[in-house]
Parts: sequence; C-alpha cells; structure tokens
Amino acid sequence: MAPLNSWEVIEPANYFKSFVDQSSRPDGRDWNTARPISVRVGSIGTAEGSATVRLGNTTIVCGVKAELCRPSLEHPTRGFVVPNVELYPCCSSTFKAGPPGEKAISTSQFLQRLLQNNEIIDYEQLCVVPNKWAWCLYCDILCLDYDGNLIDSSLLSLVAALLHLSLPTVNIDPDTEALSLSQKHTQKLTIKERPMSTTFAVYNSDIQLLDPSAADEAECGGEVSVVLMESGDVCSIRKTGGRQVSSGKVQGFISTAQSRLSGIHETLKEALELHASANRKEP
Amino acid sequence: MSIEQSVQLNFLSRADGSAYYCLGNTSVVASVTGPTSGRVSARHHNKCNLEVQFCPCNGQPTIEERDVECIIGECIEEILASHLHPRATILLNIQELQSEHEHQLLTASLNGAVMALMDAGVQMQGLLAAVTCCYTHAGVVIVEPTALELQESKSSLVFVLESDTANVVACYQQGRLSVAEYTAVLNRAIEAAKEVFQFYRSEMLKRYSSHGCIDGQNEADYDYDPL
Repeated sequence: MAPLNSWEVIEPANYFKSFVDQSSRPDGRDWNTARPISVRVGSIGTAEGSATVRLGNTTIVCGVKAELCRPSLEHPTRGFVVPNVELYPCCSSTFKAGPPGEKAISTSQFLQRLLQNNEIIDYEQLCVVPNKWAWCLYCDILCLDYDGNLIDSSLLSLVAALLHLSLPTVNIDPDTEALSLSQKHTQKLTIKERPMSTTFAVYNSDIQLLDPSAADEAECGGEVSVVLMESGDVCSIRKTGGRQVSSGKVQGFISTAQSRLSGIHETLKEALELHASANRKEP
Repeated sequence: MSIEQSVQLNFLSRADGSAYYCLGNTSVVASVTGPTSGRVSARHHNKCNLEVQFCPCNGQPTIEERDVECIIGECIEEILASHLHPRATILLNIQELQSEHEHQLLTASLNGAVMALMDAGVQMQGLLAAVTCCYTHAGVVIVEPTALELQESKSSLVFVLESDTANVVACYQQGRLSVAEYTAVLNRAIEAAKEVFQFYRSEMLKRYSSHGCIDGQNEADYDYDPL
C-alpha cells in the first residue's frame, strides 16, 4: 500500500473525502472548529495605521497610508478609503507575480463595497476642507502566508488597522491657504460599528467547513462569508458562485457567525489595549 | 408576472448561441461560442474551460468588470456539464447595452448568459435564475427594483438560485438587515426565481415548438413546477 502522502498527491479528492467522511479535515479539526486568531496593531511604524492578523498559518499585514487629495465633485464633503488586497508569490505557489489575479481582485472589491455602503466609516470626518482637501486612506492588505480564509483575515486586519489609525491635524493658513501638518498624529477615525466575518468552504450542499485552510479550499468549491455587525445584524452574506448551498442552511451560518462574534471582538480589543498601554509607557 | 423580461434568441450569425435579454430597463447581449478549441495553456485534462468576458457600455473594462466576470464564471461553471468536453473551451461574452443599476446588470447578465447557453445547446446540469431584491425601510420586499427604489431602500440583495432544488449558488448584499428580514427577502427571491424559470420554459417552447405559437392553450399540456 502506498504511504499516506503519496495518496494525497495522486488522488487528492479521495484523500480529502476520507477525512470528511469521519467529520474531520486533514489538519485535524472538525467541521465547525476555527483556528486561533492573533491580532497585533502598530506593526508598521511608517504607516498611519497598521495591523497584523494571523489565522492559523494565514498571515495578513494591513498598512494604511493617508494622503491629502481633492474630494470628488459628486461628494464634496467626503474622503476616500481605498482597500487593495495583494497576494504575493511568497505566500503560496498558486499565486504568480504580476497583475492581481481573480482572488485578489474579488476580495478587494468585496472590501470596497462593504466599506462604501454600510455605516462603518464616517466619510464626512475624512474631509478637511469641503471641495478642496480630504483624506484618502490607501489600505494595502498584503498576504505574506496563505493558508486559506483570505476574507476573514483581510477584513479583520483592515478593521484593526483603521482602529489603530491616527491622522495628523491639518492647519490651514487663512492668508496663504498653505497646508501644514502637525508632527504628532492624534486624530482618530470614528468607526461607527465593527464588522466581523465568518467564512465557510462549501464541500457540498450539506457539508460546509468553518474557517477553511488552503487544503480545504482546494477540494471545496467556493466559499460563503457571513459578515455581521457587533449587534448581530447581517451586514453581508457573500457567496460568489461555486457549489450550491440549500437556502435553509443560511440560518445555520448566521448562528455560527453570531456565536463567534464576541470572541473575535475580545481579541481585537485586547490587541488595541496592548498597543495603547505599550505606547503610554514610552514618554 | 411581477418581473418584466423579454428575450430574442439566436439573432447573432457568428455565435453558436445568443440572447438579447431585457429585464426592466436593463438589456444585455449574451453570446456563446463553444465548446471549441481554445488556448493551449487554458486546457484542463478532465473538464471544459469557461472564459467569460464582460464588456461595459461605456469605456474600457476595469477591475469592477473583472469581478463581475469572476462571479458569472463561477456560477455558470456550477451548472455546466463540463466533464463532457475535456480540453475544450466555451467562450461567453456579455455586452451591456443599458442598465438601471449595477445589481440588475449582474442579474440580467446571468439570466442572459443562461439563455444563450440554452440556445447554443451546451449541456447543463441545471438552470440558474438571478434575482435582485431590495428591502425598504417600511419593511416591503421589492423584486427587481428601479434605481430610485434601490436608493431609498435599506438594503439591496442579489440571489442566484438553481432550478431543481432552489439551492443558493451565489448571493450578495449591500446594507444591513436583521436575520428575520434577511430570511424574508430570501424566501421572496425563491418565489421570484420560479417566474424566471417559467419564462425560460415558455421561451424555449416558443422557439422549438412545431405548433408555432403558445397562447395558454398548449401550455396547459405542460405542467411544470420547477421547485
């Protein structure tokens, strides 16, 4: 009989099925266990806001850089937030160098729409002078190690980085209209409510795996992500094609996501407090 | 019928299948060529390769159009019997002519694509219906809303449902809802999808029926309840 790791390479679908038949997965978790989450904010000193999130082996770093720009004509009192997800070749052999692939594009678009249309960020706060100056926050979400579940980790890192963000105060000389930025960054961005997501990989219409690793995603067809606000309201349920899921299952996804909410919020709060107390110690 | 839709099939001479599909004020042209030989690099040994190209009515395709292509591609791949055409490619091209809003554009593109695939005679394991819904502040669910209704609603959602089982193939949402509200919209979408499947059915009957015209008399012979 061939050793186990040859079987994984020659017949990956059957290898995976043998685990699923026993309500398990190759990494040893059952279908409804998520990997431990660790969040650290302030990892990049040169960025206005930054955070690093690890979900098991998946490592995502989010850096937020702020630039002043002119607001658009349609919304003269609003600033901009531009999330951009990059999957570097170092994170996995499935991603090549060059223009962003489907996964990166699709995740970037998802984050952009989420931020644009829900009451998460107060865009009016980002405006400095209506019609003239507004902050544009470029959020670069970089994947350094890809082991599945890009959606949950990138959303969490984006939210953490925006919470950590502090902008300089802008002073405008009334006579010359010259701008000057304060040295100390003290202005915080108001995040009205924090969205949290929970992702399931769809193995078939009855079996969905919570918090999939890269091996799980390779054998499943598509993912379902449930994004909830802190209050438990459904912010977004996203499924972009792939294997079907019966409509009755949606309730189950929402309940599982709700049960994970408080744990993730706690982790995020602890990371922010840890960073704040470390800063207070330094003069 | 609460959804206004109309279609003209097989009107492009160079494509294997084509559909000029109108949904409310949105219209798209979907054309299918294939299964045919494609790029050598894109061949799979055990299944067909689906290439989707989505062209907006104004300007060059941007990153948003690529996102739409990904969604349409993944939904269609779910229903295509791709194992029947290994190493072949199916080219699906969707041209936007006019759109009420971006959600209805996605819905119309998917429905148009499914009709074009049926017209081309590509083997499929099921059919898809895409439905846009919005939930107003007053608690009313509107199916296929206009741009104004969408702007004034609390939340807008797109569902893509499969014909035999009413399983959800894709879903997308903007704006927050409570769990009960979400379930209400999902149930309404499932009902609305039945209308879309009925429309596919009647259009295909019109196209292939030797009697010529279906006016309710012949339709009684066909008792179809997809869900």
